Amino acid sequence: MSVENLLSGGASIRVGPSSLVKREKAGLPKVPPLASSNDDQLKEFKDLVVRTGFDKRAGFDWGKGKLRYK
Amino acid sequence: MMNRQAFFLGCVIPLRFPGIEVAARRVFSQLGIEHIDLEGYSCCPEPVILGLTDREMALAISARNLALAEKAGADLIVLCNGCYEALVEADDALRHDETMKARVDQLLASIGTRYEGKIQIKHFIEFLHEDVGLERIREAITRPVEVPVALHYGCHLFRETRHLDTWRKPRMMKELVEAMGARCVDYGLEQLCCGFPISQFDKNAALKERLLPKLKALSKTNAEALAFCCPACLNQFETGQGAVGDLGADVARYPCVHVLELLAMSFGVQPAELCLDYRSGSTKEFFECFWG
Repeated sequence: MSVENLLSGGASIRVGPSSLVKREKAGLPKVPPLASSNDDQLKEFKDLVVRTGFDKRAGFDWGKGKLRYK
Repeated sequence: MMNRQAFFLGCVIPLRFPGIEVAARRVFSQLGIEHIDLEGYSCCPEPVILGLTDREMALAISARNLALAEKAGADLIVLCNGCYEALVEADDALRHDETMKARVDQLLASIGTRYEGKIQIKHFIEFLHEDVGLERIREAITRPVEVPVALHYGCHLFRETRHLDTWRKPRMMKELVEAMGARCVDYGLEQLCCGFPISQFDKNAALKERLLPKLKALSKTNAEALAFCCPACLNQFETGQGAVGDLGADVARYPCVHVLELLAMSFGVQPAELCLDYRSGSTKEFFECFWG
């Protein structure tokens, strides 16, 4: 579980290559229907987070996709 | 209440345990229940750490997910305990906390959406027990799971917003597993947390204070597997059992199975279809041995 994954991709786990390979091997659509599968949905999610101000309170750097203390 | 169902898969199932997603799709299809995907959903978000860190943010994210279902004209079937708690409690808060409802409405309006509270949110255990019924499930079983199984309910399964009986869903889980032919083994520590939230801060404490006492209690039983309805708890047990051994504790390791995987197999889905190669411990062997 990671705030960086949540804010960058809308999911607490990074949608990485190994997850996509596992899904394909399981006979599932390679990409799950998460917000990260659709640019408009991901933008909507990120806009909502920005409106709540959580990104600032958490110290999230959108450019680096990381929390600033790191 | 809507006339169709959407799966809320969460993050852990589709990204770490795709076999559970396969099992869910096969079980619901075999029961003749139409289900759609909730396109564009995000993390629920995780209710213990994120939910307590920033309630307004957590409620807004949950409300966006609920609004997606409402827009799709679908009730939600939630496959993960943590997601269930986050979504049900958000729905409840938005019904009863007018100040928060006004704030969340404002946030949702800023991204061009709204949530009116018209959908029903059910844990998959609740849906299978209440809406499908054990009789219909028994009729679909072709390979009864006639083995002693211990249950780990998961803390969030005890959360209730509309009922006083906190054992309602855990009891449903037990009855569902028994309907598959399994014998549920009591070990006395069923309610103890798996340790996942603690592990975010102190992995050793999570193993020593949560997982180890449960494994010691289980070792006094004849349980052959551990059944879960929460993917985070399952992950904690499956990976944690090896780590407990590394700490010097001499305890048996158990195959960790999700109730939907067990149900799929009892419906005739072969282990090879459940993507078990990526699982640690003896889970794959348990399924293959059972299948014969």
